Amino acid sequence: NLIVRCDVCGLIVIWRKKSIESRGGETAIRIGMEYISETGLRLDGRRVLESRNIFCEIGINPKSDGSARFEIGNTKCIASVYGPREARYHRDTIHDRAIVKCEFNSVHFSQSTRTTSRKNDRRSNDSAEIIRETVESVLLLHLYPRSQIDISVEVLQSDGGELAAAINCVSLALIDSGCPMKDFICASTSGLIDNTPLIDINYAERGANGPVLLIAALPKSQKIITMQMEHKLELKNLDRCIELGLQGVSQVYEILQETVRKNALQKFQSREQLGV
Amino acid sequence: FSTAGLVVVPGKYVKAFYVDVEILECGGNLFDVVSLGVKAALYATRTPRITITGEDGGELEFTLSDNPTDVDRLDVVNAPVLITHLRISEGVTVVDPTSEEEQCGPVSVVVGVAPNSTICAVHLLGPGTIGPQTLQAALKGSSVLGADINARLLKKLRQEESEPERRIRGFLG
Repeated sequence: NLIVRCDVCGLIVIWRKKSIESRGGETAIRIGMEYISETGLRLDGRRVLESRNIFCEIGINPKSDGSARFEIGNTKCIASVYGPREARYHRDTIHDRAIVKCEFNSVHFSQSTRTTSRKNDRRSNDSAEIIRETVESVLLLHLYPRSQIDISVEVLQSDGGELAAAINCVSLALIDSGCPMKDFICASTSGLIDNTPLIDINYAERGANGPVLLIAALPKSQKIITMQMEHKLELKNLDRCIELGLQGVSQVYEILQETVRKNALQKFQSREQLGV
Repeated sequence: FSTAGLVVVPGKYVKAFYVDVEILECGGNLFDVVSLGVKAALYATRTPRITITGEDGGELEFTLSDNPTDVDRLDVVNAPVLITHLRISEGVTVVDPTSEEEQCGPVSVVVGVAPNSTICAVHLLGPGTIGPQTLQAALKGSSVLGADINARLLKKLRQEESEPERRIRGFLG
């Protein structure tokens, strides 16, 4: 075994001898990075079924109708919601419900090297579409005909699971803005590395090129709204991965719910103090 | 601002810095705040020391130092700071306007002031006019204020750095 300490992130990486190949008289030793140690610990010390630490805050941007900040491990993002309000372009409006417009943006310094792709690149547009569709299936849009709800998400730091973090963040921001919704929207990633299913894949684990499944669901009814997958996954493993994704969703839900309750209590207490 | 510190091999190789500014919330007076932020960020920048290890067919080879304490810093002590004057009426300007105050006047003057009170940039912003007396008063006021703001910023940055147990807070605290 070769044990190396990464200078960049401080992780201790174990390269284990995977196989010895002999070809044409030459022997080559293939080594692969060990993502899950024998004791069941992952690269950052988590267990297989453990999500990273979550921190969230509501109401960070007083200018918008609703805003929130969501951090899971080193992935950090903020979201702002404006609306429901009068639509900007009358031709976009729908006579019996509101429209949702979503913007997804990653700052240039979100990853370890500076990224130069800006607003209208495909990846961002894709993510924005996914968030929009997720949100449209949960909001009670029929209550606001001919109106518009604008959602803007900014990823400040990226360490895997940005879209899931963005969806959670948007969910909190929508709750802060008072838009009527059926339930919280909670999202989590799950994946498979070395035949072990994992919850909450971070950037280093994505490098293992195993399948990564993103699930956004309504936590109370466990109904899945959005599912997105990268790489290949055998059908027999799909059920387990979905199950883990929903477990991750429940873990996130506990924290989101706690945050919203605390925030509501704070608002209620401040009203009491004003004598209202 | 001295760019001599950015040179690796004179006439051939220089370091390039990319400054990305992300505005999370706009409460007025964007230029000033951004310039303070950029100056503070450049002050906090540390780059690994580059040493030339050899020459390979006319092309120089570089190595970056692996030691996290062996770093180069930028000399931003003389970098300027921007100050915005919003013209309210003839002869009256307001410094550091909030977004409500910005609605009151169409035109503002952004002045770049170095720590030694010299003015290095002047820019008129907005669809309006500004009289020469008002402009002169604004420029004079800026050079005095600029020196003060620069001095205070530097003092605070040095104070932050010298704190032995500074908890590095992530974004937004």
